[in-house]
Amino acid sequence: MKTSFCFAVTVIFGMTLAPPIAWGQVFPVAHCIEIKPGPPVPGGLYPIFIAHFGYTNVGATPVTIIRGIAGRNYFDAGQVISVTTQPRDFLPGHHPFTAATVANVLATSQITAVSWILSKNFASLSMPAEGTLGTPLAVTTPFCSLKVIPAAQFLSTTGTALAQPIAGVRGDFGNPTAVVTPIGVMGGSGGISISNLVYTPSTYSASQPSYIPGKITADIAVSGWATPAQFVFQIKADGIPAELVSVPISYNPTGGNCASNVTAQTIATLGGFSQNIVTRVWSQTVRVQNSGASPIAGPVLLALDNLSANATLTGGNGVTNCAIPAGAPYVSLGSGLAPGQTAAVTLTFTNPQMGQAITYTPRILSGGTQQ
Amino acid sequence: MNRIVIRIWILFLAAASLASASTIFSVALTAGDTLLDGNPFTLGDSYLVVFQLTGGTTSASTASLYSIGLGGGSADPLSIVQSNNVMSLPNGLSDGALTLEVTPSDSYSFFYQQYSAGTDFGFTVMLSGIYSPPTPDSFTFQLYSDGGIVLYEQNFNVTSPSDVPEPCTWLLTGAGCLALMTAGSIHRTSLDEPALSPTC
Repeated sequence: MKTSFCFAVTVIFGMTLAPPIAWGQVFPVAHCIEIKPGPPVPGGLYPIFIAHFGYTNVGATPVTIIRGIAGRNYFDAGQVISVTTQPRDFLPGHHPFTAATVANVLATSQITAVSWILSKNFASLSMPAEGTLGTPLAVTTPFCSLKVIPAAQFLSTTGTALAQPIAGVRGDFGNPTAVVTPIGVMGGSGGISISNLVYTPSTYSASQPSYIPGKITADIAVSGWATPAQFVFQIKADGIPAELVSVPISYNPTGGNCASNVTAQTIATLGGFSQNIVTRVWSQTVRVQNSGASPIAGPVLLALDNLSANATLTGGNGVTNCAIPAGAPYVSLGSGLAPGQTAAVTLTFTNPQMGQAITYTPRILSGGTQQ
Repeated sequence: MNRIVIRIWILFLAAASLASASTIFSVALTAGDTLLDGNPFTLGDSYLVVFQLTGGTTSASTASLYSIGLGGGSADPLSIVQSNNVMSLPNGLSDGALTLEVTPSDSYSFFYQQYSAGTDFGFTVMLSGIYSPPTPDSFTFQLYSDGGIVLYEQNFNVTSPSDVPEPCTWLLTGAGCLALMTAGSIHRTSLDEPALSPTC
């Protein structure tokens, strides 16, 4: 029998979707999915979708999940994918999906393109898939890792920083203190040690309502660093390898604090280049808007990461040596940016190799006493 | 105060079947228009006309200039300076058309020519390319004095975001076509407005 089977699994984080149920007391936990070979069934092997996510009912009364939108289904442990929509009661405290097998593809299943909404705020899962009976499973690479959010903290080059937040964790993965594996150091040399690792589980705020990621903190002692560097390590939780986490180590001889990277809170719009054919100066206008809800503290700086070697920024205000990556020229954007406010600056460059484009990646820095 | 006036009109040309969208701009100067040094654009004065196309992230664009009008002025063909990736006729401005191109291997294209002003100066440029963030390819028109002072500058970015135009692009296309059909003269906008960089 000719066999063919393909799956495409997409997990989209951060989407806000229309709630199909009363979400007031039900919130999603974790997000992660992997595909494993399932047990043999007549006709061949079939995959098992193991989803490390689900919902928790934090209220005092049961919540009934019903089918919401046509074409979007909800599934439960052991549920055959092609069969859907039976009501499901979540009892208070019930945490039905965590690390559970949520769907088996059985021999009688004919999978068609469907999608599931798996959480209100964090994950949407679609499984455009097709298959035929008797298809041996082509195992898809497991797509499952602890989602970590590197903390935007900078360590001094000497001394011990207590209870430093080193990562945020979305989802309930149990205790991630089991393994912390130093991977290496990029950009320098020196000593570092980690102790008192503490995991704070994620929580749900009913008043928001919002899902507050968990976090991992540790005491980190560093010494002997002469240049900015990044210390990279890995966390595992319940045997699940996490993403690598890198913690910047700043070169901060004066004891000041480094400017924070607030690029994610901004929209930088780069204009095109033009050259003054007499002075040979190249110009570009850059506009930076605070797209967040909170003010950006000054001084606000535009740093040019990875500026192409053919170009030199003229008229800049300095070069980063604390807010890594170091060595990036920067210019001032002013003393602060209110939400929605835009600052504009005209950058000037020399570019002796006119046939090569000037390229860089904009980085927006805020506050601090060291850049 | 003498209002600084430059005539600019814009027409977006786009078709869903095109591999990239095109944008058309026209620029017109008339004798008496105030330049950046405060002096008027003057009949009989000598200027250096400069067209540049600079590459950004993609460096894959063309700027096709046509309907170059000297308003009775004259351009010296011996004063032409241009890069390799420019296609122009022997007389340059006087021939009324030329094309600049940037590629990933050569991201700067330029054309200079000295000319003696007539009653007006104008041209139309069609920009073709696909914008890939963060830096757009960009077309620049500059006018220099004999002493090398920038008297006028206008930049247009290649900002076509995708193969398929968005609804507002169609709206602008229709508006542009309507303007072409109905307007006997060119819409006037202020020179001191920021450089146009139309996006949807």
